[in-house]
Amino acid sequence: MGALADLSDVINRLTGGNSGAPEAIPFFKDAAVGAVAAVTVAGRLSSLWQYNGIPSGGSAPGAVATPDNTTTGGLKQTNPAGGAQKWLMGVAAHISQPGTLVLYDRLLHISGLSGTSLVAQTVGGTISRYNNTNTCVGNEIWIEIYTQIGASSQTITASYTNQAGTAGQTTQAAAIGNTGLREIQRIIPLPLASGDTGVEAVASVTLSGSTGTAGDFGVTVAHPLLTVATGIGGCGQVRDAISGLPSVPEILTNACLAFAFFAAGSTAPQVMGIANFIEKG
Amino acid sequence: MAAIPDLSAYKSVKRFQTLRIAKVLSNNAGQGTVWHSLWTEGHDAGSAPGAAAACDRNTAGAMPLFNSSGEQFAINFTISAGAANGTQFCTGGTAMLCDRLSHQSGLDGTVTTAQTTNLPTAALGRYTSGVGVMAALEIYSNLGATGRTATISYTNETPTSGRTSQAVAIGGSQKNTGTFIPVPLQTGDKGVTAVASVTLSASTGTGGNFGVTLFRPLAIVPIPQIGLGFHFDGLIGLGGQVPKILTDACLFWVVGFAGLTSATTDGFSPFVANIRVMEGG
Repeated sequence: MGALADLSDVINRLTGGNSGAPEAIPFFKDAAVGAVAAVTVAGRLSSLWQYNGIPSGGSAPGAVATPDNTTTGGLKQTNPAGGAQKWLMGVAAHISQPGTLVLYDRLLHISGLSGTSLVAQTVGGTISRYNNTNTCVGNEIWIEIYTQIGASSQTITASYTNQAGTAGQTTQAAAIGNTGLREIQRIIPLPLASGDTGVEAVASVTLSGSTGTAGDFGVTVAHPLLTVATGIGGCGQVRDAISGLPSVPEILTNACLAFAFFAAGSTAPQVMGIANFIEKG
Repeated sequence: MAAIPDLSAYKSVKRFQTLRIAKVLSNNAGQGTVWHSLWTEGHDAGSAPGAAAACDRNTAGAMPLFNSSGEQFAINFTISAGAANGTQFCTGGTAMLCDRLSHQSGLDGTVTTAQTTNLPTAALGRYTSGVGVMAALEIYSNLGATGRTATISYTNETPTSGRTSQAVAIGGSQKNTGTFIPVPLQTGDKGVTAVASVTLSASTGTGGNFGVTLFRPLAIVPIPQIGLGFHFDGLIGLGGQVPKILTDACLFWVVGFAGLTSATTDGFSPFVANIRVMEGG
């Protein structure tokens, strides 16, 4: 495997030379989940995992699982050829509402957790990408809500293994429940313990108290890759990884590429975009 | 297959054609419209297709494209979108270049049974696997003011027939001529090879005329500001958007608006686009 050498290398591979295997994936996300219109909350992160779309939206995962590039809900990009690396050149998108689109690798997910249970609720599973001391830096723990939980304000923490392989670390408490933090598709990122920079595994999550409604929430371990921001809804935007910094992110074999949206308002976005990839062995 | 070999060749652009199109919009986009097809907008307007037909570079309405013995790639985009009637009704937007693969019209905004007029869609002549091929409902004559939903019955990329899309809004704010409504797929799917029927949830109140368009997005180009012209390079600045232009491609534009302020407006007009298409090798 070798790094992309220069712009000549990039343009040659983008146009199919040198086994570049260029892949341009158009994607579409509608502002609905099934027959229900989606809603965002200003200043909060929303998951587009279940949004209707092309490729189609995903579903609540149920038992813990490690999604990959065949999982419904992801972009379903092809894997790089044996011995090659896949690189993301950029994402161009029309985002109908102001905010920031986040492209991430969905490493692990689980649902079926209860907004009324006060015991440590097991997460478990095994992360298969960005899963060691050198690579798990940047992994984030997200609470993801699949069925609305209760109106009682509580906090939540996670017990996890950090980038040094130290188990039993506890995230800082994050607010959960009540308006803005109980709705479906809401993502609540959990700040790591002081000094930590990554996550190798998540053992469990614990509520400080009952939110009042069991609902259904889960844990997603995410590795953010790239953001596309728009201050004016409906004005096309481009995140060019070729000329911008940080430069082209690697897309690991089996990556489950998915989107979240940091909303500036309460109207859910419709997103139409294209993601461009090349390979180099 | 002949790729662009290096940056020097890319910059020298020895074998190229420039595709130009100028559109004066006359169909009101309407507040609430997300996407507006320029297919039937003058100059060089296409028309409502009627019977199902495959589209190619000779279809009236397509950007003028010459085939090449080698492979061709769109490398530069110059876009300008003028203030409609000298008054700005939107702030900016997005221009999406698409390959129009197959289309039909003659569907009725008041019929509530599964509509098969001029369906199924004609066979794909390009992107025949269906992966990345999207279906949209395209309005050729205003539908009614009552908002309804529509689903399509289609064949996916496997190919498996009898798939049912998610419902999309039609009529109401999505009723004006030119409205272009992408249709999200059934869970698990990532493309469309054919559409068999369209079903409305109820009458929109006006028959009008609408149809199904199968298309493949090729590039998404920002329109940062109405009234100004912008030049974008596919390699530097557009995130590696150097789409291959297939032989006989039927290139057309779909535009999205930012900040539409009026219920009856052209959005922006005129729309002028130049694409430099370069031959590889």
